[in-house]
Amino acid sequence: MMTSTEAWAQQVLGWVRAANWMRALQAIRDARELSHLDLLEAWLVQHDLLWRLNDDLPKAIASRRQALTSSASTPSMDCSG
Amino acid sequence: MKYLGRCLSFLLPSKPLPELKLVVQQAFVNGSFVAPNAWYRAEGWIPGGVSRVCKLSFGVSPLLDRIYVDELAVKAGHLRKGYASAILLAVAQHASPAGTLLPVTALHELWTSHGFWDRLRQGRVPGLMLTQDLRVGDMEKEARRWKGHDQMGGRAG
Repeated sequence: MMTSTEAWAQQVLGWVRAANWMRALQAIRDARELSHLDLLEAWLVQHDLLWRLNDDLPKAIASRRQALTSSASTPSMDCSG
Repeated sequence: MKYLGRCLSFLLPSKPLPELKLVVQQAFVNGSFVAPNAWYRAEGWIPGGVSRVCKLSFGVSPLLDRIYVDELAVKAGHLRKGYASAILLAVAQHASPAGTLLPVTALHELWTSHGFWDRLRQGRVPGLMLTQDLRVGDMEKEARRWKGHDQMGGRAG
């Protein structure tokens, strides 16, 4: 049984392999979990695809990872009272 | 002298390409760059051989006017023997309607392979026509070209 992280990474990997890079890059920009990005990156390395678009894919992953990390470390404001 | 040799090399008769047995498999139907058309994987084998010497993936545009190729690779030990050119020509012949040869567009030529693609554009392989490569930033425009064709009632643009 595939986890949701694996399902997401497999979908994005499929888009990369089918040359649907716009969709793959958009999915990376929309990723909601660091674990999704970690697994995708590992699979891209395993399939020798991480540098397929020169540095577009690593840059997109790094940028999204940074955004997710910084939003996770920003304390949320409690305005309830 | 080396520079002059490179400049004149395209005037010399092309070396015959090595023989290749082409094996094509459908890889992705949904979500491919050329959807609703499928994306394929092609392998080149030495006839009678036991191992694959080269591979690529490809798809034909929804307008059936161009072949896009990606992930071209030749096995170590078989480099610089014409196998990359041979599989490109074989795929163009396989994917084109009988009697014609559709132009081939490489997807995102990598820095390290520019020399190879440039030599092909200079006509190294007779009959094989190569366009400028398509990069990530060009893909949306290319998809619009396909749709624009639809809106014009199916006329070639």
